Amino acid sequence: MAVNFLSIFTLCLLPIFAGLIVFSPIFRDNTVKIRRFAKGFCSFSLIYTLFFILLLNSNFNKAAADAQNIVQNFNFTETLPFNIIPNIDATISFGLDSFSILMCILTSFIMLLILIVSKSMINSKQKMYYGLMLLMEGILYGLFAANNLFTFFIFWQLTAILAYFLIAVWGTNSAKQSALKFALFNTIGAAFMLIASALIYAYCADANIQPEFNNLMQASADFPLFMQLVVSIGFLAAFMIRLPVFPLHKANSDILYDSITPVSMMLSGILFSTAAYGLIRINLQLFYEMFQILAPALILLGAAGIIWASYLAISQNDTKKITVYYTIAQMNIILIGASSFTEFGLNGAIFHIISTALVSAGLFVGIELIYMKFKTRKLEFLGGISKFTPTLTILMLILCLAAMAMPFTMSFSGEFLSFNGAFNSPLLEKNYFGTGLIQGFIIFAALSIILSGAYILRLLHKTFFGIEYDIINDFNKNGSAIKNLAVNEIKLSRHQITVLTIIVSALIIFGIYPMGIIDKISTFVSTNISNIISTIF
Amino acid sequence: MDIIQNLWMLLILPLLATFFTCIPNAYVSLPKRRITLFLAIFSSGLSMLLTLFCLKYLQNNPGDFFESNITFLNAGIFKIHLGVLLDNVSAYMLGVLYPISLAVIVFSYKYMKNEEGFSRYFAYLNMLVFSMTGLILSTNLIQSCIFLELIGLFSYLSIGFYYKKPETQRAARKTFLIFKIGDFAIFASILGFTYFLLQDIENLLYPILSLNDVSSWGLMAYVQLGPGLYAALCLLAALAALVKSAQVPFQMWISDASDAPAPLSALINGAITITAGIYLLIRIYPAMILSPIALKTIAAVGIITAIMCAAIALVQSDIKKILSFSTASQAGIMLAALGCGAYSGTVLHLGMHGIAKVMMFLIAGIIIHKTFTRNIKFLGGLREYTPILAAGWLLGCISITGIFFSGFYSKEMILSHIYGSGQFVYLSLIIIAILLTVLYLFRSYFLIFEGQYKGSYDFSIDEDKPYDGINLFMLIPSAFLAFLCAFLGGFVAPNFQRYVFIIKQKFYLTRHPELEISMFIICGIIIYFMWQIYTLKKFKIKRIRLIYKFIVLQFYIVKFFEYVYKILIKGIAKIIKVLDKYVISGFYLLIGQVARFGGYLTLRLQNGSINSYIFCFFAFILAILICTTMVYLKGLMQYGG
Repeated sequence: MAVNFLSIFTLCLLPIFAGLIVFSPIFRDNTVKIRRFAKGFCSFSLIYTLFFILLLNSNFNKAAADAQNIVQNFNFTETLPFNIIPNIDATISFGLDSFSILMCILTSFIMLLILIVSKSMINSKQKMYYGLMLLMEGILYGLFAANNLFTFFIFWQLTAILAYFLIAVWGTNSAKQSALKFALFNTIGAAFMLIASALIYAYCADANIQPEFNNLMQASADFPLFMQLVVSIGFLAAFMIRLPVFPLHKANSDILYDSITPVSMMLSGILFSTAAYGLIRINLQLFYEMFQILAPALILLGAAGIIWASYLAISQNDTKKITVYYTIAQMNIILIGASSFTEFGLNGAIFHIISTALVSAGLFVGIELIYMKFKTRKLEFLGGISKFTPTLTILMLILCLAAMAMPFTMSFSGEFLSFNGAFNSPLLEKNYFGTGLIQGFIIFAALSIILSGAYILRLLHKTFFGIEYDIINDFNKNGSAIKNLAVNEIKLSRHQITVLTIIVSALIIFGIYPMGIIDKISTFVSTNISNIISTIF
Repeated sequence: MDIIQNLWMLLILPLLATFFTCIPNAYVSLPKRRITLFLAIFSSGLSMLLTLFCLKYLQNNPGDFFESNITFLNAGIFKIHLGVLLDNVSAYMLGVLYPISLAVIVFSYKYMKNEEGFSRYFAYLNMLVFSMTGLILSTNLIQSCIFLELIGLFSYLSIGFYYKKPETQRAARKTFLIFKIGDFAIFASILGFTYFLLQDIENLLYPILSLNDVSSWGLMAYVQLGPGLYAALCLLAALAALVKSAQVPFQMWISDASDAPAPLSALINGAITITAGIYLLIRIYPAMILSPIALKTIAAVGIITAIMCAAIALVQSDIKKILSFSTASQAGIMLAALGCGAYSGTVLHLGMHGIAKVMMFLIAGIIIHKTFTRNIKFLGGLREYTPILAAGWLLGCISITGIFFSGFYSKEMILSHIYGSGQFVYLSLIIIAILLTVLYLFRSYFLIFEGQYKGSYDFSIDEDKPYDGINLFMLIPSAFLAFLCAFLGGFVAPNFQRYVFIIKQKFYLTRHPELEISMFIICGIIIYFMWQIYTLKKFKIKRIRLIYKFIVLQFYIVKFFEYVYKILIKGIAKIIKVLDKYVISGFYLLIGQVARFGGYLTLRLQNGSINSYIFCFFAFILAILICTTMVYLKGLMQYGG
């Protein structure tokens, strides 16, 4: 077919190459040039990924696959022609299906927004920043396109390392400490993951299986049960630390708060979603028999995490912290959808990954814009901003409504399907917690509808509406010049308005027409997950 | 009939009007305000025309319905459909909605002309009409849930319309939080109802939870869930309706709703938000019938609200708040009637009350617009200056109390049903509520229109103007609604029993003239005494301070809710914050400390003393020995040596 110009290897390598160009002495300290180069490159890769989804099934001979009775789900599969570790087939191998290509598009989309908005937010070490961001983009493509566990593991570790630098270099004073904490805990997870992958590779070398996802999907059912258990717990540990699941959320909330806004957008939008991606790709798809046993506990943890994070968000007085805990609550909703073992729950979880990425990115930007003007994030010093900036008020109003999962915004479909999937999960009929207990827990977790209303409305009203004397009085005492700023109209720059408008319009368009994305998701779900569900139940 | 195929237009027209309204002024060089008004009138007027055709069609083919669905979400076996369902009840509700919205739109033009946020106002108005249309035409419970949330959203936005006032914003936020409780409730009930439907995939019909045959899935749910769980789910769905129709203990948002501009609060009260809750209950009524406990609970809540809110309305001094609490009280009467089984009476009263209430709100709007006060203590004697308004207000009072005009028919239908079915406790309680209605409504009439004018507005400047200085843009819509309020009931009621016939229930068609006549006489006596008290001042009323304070504070329900909010939301949040700070962070610290302790131990082992090295060596050997022995012994026990 005539789609030879599409190659995943190129997709991953181009941003890395571009990042290296940025690092090289070609750009001396010309910030404008670096930024435009990075943005141009990112838009190019967005278009490039869009081509992938357009032509996803064009080079895929379904009839031939059916004739050979092979579950051939990955397209554009590529394998580098050399073994990195001899004897065990440790090759770098890529493949795409509709789920991973959706995640790649999300990556390039969010990255583009981040690079646009970075103009006013990154004031130092631009060269390093844009270089690292481009490297990060390429590595995330690699992670989402990985077709065997070895590739997945390598890119998983690389994301953690790059994220460490991005958080630590441009962040608040405590950013270095929290970045270190994040990196350490990630390494603990990765150690478990390494053991699990090594076990599988050893077994595959022994049983003469090519350890690609396609082959593993069929072979994994024949693995010894104990090994399956060890392996799936190993992977689960890594994913739970990064997602974050309830008792392990501290490191993640710290890095989200301490890093600078574009990096927070990247973390909440993509980096945490890699864990959800891995959960679905590896734990659910490869080791479903073990995941079936672990899933009720995950649903329980997810329900606890939703309520815990929502209450934490209510107790905060800091706009950014509210957004941070909002993100964590949404990640737990994704968790309960993904471990529901129903088609619609999984559809909802994957859809909610995308909607959460957009909503929390938008909220982070909006809050940062207020911070840049008023130099404070504390709710008690804010208020009555709507008079000065009607545009930002309208955009943030829509974002906040989307965060509350109003109908006809993207998060409504995701949240509704995730909760419904978890509640209707066939796992919950008979499990070790007893029938009905988990359903009750999910209804309890659905109280987050009220709680999210409480904290999001608090965020919205205390910043945009209400009494504005607070600002003026407070800064009068300190003799600051902020008062003059407050009286004038706040003008948003073109970049900031563009980013917020794009996010808001995407939220509304795919809120009214969710099938535009869910069609792609359900091709993945119906080809990969449906047969799993039907084999188990 | 072809025209019914165009029913989707009802949803598209207000959206288009909103879309134009939302274009910023900078991009339009046309006279935008007039075009906004024209588009709003056009969308509501065309919808009204279409509704009239639908009503005509349904009159010719009684019992017929039209349904059309599109798939909003298709995720495996679970699908969400959005659609339009036209049957007798929804056609009747549309027939009530559009005249009201048309009148409010025309009224608003003059009311909002010199105020800031004209386009925003019309956007909210159109979206309110859109969401109500979507709810009325819902084909399934999930669509109802979606549009109920939208109604809540736009009510919140309308209440917070004057966004620069902090009090308004606080009221709006409180209202939205209360609405969120209802959203949670209906979401939870949908979770429960879909659970058993999805167990039986072979018999799954789309749309899920269809409102066209509620009784069939209601019966299935009842069989599978058992009466207890089924009643709980029904009550959860009803909770959403109770929240939206401002029943006790959620009645406090209705007094906040008066912060909206008068025409918008008219819509929220008369035709949209309050009505939405009751309409939802009317739609799922066939499922509710199966659970008498749920129906009885609704009736009890309704009657409590009817009496409590009537008492609260009796002590208010703000015109809009009197009308708001009156709405809540009337909604309570409707719910009590629905709980007692007076289905068609409730449906009729929903519309008749809505028209009368919106008309009274518009008149209140005119008064506020003219005299710049909402407090009835600074009004009085307006009948001399504006007899037209006095007549309209009196008409509304008489209709809502059910003495005469449209309200008479619906109230009579409700009362005779309850009387006929022998539920005398509810009958007496509803009659008490109606008598309280007479009290507070005629109190407002006497205080506003009779006696001496106590305000500061100079009415003499209007003397040479026609219509008492009231703009025609404001007068005509009110007159239109007054006309409907006077005659629509008599036109609709005679064949209403046949018309709303969707459930096979036992109708008590017999009229009870003794009931009507005695009600008429009692109301007449009460009004006569009130005239004596308020106008002629022959008697004096004394306040009992304790009870007065108790009622003014809304029976301490508001305080109770603030307390609950403090404990359940803020209190637990504080506890969790502390736990997160010390327990969860402590867990992270613990890992660090464990690593450090391990380092410390290994450091201590290498202390250079030969004795400790030897000790370690022998301890190691001993451990290996013990292990080996145990393995050996285990083998010995298994294989018996």
